[in-house]
Amino acid sequence: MPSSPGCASNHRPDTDEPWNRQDHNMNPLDQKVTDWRSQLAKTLPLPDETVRELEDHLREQIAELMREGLPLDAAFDVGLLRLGEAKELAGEFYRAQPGWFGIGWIKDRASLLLFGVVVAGCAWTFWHYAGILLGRDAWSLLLLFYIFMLWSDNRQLRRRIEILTRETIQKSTARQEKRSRLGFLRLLNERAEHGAKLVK
Amino acid sequence: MIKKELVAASAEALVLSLLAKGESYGYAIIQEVRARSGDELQWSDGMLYPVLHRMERKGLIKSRWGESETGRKRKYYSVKKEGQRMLAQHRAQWAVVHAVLAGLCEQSPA
Repeated sequence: MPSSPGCASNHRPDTDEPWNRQDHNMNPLDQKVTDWRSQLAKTLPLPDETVRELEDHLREQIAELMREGLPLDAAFDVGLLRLGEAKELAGEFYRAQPGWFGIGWIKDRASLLLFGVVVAGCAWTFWHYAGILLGRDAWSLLLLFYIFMLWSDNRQLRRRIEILTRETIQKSTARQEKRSRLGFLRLLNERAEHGAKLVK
Repeated sequence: MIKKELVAASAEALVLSLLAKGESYGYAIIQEVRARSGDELQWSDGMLYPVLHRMERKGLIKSRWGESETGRKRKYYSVKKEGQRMLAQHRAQWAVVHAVLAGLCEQSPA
């Protein structure tokens, strides 16, 4: 029976769905889909309703590929390739968010403006009162503070560069491994499409 | 193969045109676009859903949860009145683009 679309947060989970079942005797497809859902949830936190819609799409695609003769594993991988990886999906969904160039954008700008006003106020206060209270020492203190900030900023920057370099090396190794797997999947995808054309 | 930018620009008009024929869902929409364009117009599957959701937020289409033939839950989309008005606008605009291009193609030797 059709149910109202409703909001994802108000959506009551269905206990009969495979990912809500407590038993561990899932069929291989359900197991794969459950793994994909948990993987997707880690990378891209989408409303439950959207994930359910993407899952329906994926299952439909897999069913069609299997009808064309692909085994389950290959059909699942090709289906996933066609649906797009979490990162690609994230990009598409991010652009479609109402907050993109909307409320989020205004909030960012407003907080930046507020921060600017506070900094300007602090500078003005220092300029007016610190000179009177501390005399010449105020400027030496300001200079010392400035030098300390520069040193601390430089240290943080060096650390970040080190981390980024390490991550880049790790990513490029992972990418190379993935590329060889993707090449194989694309070949399967092309074969599946070619097969579908022949059937038509 | 048609360029990604053109695919994205025509997505709303195509979805509205398809839904104007009757209620449908994501997978079927993609398959129909592919079939009608002879595989020339290929949407990445993940691209369609944000488009559908954005159109729903804009009040052009509406959705309901139903069941597929296998009993799985499925989200069906249909066009709203505002969507029909937008479709008329899209058609008029695409007709202008088509007329200009066709006119220019007739004039040019290649």
